[in-house]
Formats: sequence, C-alpha cells, structure tokens
Amino acid sequence: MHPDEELIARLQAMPQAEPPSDLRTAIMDSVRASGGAGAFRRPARLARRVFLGGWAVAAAIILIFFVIAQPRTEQHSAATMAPLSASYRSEALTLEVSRNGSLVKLGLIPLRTGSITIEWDPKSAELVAISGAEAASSSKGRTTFTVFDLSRRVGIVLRPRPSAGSLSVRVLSEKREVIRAAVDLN
Amino acid sequence: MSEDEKDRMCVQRCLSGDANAFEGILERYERPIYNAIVRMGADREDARDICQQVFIKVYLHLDTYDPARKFFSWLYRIAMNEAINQMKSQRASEPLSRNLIYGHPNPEQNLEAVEQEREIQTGLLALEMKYRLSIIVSYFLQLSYEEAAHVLSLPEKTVKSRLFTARQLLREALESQRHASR
Repeated sequence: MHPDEELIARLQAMPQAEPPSDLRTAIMDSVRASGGAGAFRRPARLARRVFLGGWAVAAAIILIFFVIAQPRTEQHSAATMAPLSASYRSEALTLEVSRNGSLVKLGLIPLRTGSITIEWDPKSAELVAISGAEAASSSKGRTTFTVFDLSRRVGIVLRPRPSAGSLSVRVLSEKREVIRAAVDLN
Repeated sequence: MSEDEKDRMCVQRCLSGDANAFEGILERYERPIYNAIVRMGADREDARDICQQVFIKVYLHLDTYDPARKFFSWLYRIAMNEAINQMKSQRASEPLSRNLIYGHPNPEQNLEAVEQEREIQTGLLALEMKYRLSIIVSYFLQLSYEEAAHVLSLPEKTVKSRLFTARQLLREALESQRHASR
C-alpha cells in the first residue's frame, strides 16, 4: 500500500471523541435563553446608517449629560445587594442583569467604543455563552472584548453554581472600573 | 429527505421561533464538531466550552445562513473560525493543556487501536494549525476539496497543496515518534 493511502486509511479509522453527555442539554438551555435565532440580525445598509446615527446622537446626549451635568458618575457598590433583574448605569455602558431559567444573563448596552472587561467570581458562576461581541477572549471569571459598534448589544450568559447565594460582577471600561455590583441569586 | 433538506427545515423552524428545532442540528453535528475541536488540540474541558459557544453563535446567526449553500459547510466554517479564535484566546491566558483526550475506548477496542489513535493525535498536534485544519476538514469532517475550500476560506488549489504538505508532515511526525520510542 502507498504510504499516503496507509496514512489516509489510519486517519479515516480514527474513532470520534465522544462529547460529554450533558453538553447537548447545556447548549439547548443556552439556546432557549438566548432570545431567539438570528437575534443579532443586522439591519440593511441604509437602515443601519440611520440606526447607527440615532445611536450616535443618543450616545452623545448621554455623554454630555454625564460629563457636564453629572461630573461624578454614580457607581454601584457591592455593599448593597441588588435583586436579580436590575440595571446599572455608567458613563461607558449600561449593564442589565436578568434571570432566564437557571441562567443569569448580563446584557451590556455600550455607550462608547473601546475595550470592556467583565469579571465575576468564578466560584459563583461559570460562563455559558457570549453573544454580540466580536473576538471576545475569556478565561475563568473574566471576559474581554472591544466595542466597535454602539448598536450591538453584548450578552453574557452565566450559570450560577448550585451553592452560590450571590454573584459579584465588576465591569471595566478601558481598564477602569465603571460598575461593581453584587446580585442576589436566591 | 436529504440531510441538507432536514437542516434547512430545522433552520426555518428556528427562525420562526421554535428553539427546540435546533436539537435536530445538534443531533447531526454535535459529535463531528466536538471531535474536530478535540483533534485541533483542545482538552476535554475547553472542547466542551468551545463547542457550546460554537453552537450558540450558530443559533444566533442563523438568519445569515444563505440557503443556496449547504448548511453543514456554513456551520463548519463558523465552527472552525470560532474554535481557532477561542483556542488563541485561551492560549493567551493559559498554556494549552497537552493532555490528550480520546474517544472513550470501549472494552472491545484493543490496546493497539488506542495506541494508534494516540500516535496520530500526537502527530497532529506537532503540525502547524493550518496543516492540522486541512487534515481535520478532509478526513474527520469528510469534506470535498470544494467544501473544504469554503470552510477554510481558501482557494481549492491551496487546499489541495496544503493537504498534500500536511500528509507529508504528519508522516514525518509519526516517523520521528517511532524513532523516539525505539
């Protein structure tokens, strides 16, 4: 047998690695919690420009409001425990925390472009999925991505550990902390 | 009904709001995609996370699927790109685990087969990712040159020459393993 044929035969005879038995259920849970297929549908070019323009104006107004009218941005402190389903606002973004079945969704509405890092206690929750963020990089308890397009919402789905009573979340914009929140999981 | 027609039907149902229809897609593609990610070099834990993120991404972008193309080639293209990105970012934050994982060897599977699998997997990991990918799409995902070209975003000619080089490099890697074990 030709060495190439022998190699091909060996490659084709390789057994398939078996996925973990709970993987399909975990994916379907995330799918059901994600808000629907094609949730990140992009508008047509003209509509997209109008849409982006609208967002740019809104972002400018909000920025002016924060910079001029409220020079001291209110930050949420971990000292107060927020219920699950809360909204946190900073000059860089709005963070919406909500529950969907057994999962917790962190929804981010960016108000300016640049790098965003989300940190949470990995002992309290594990990452299930990220949507709407291009080239996000994740390690345990941390996800970083860059916002280029203010019209795109970013969703981070976490699964709380069974024993976790609360979840602390920290959001950094351009490496500067803008939101710190502690969420009651019960 | 062909597999591709079944896929299209699942996509249609998902887009009209029936999330449960995605299970049909998972049934057909969970195993090959998980296997491809493992063969790319991810360990069990990472392969699970990457596979999950791949399918979520696919689900969220189902509306960008062009029905003129075969669904599996669109799916594999997203899967390969996502897996490469995830593995790059994981490599940046922590060194890639060198623990190889294999399909669960069943009791009938003899030791020789397990050893053969270990040898090939080690050989694959010795290849540059571009060569590893050409082997994975051609022999593990069993795509034609044309389909592999679409999945890898390369001209068909490049796929052929890359696959030729990949086989050569893999043979050399297997040879050097044999010499090292003597």
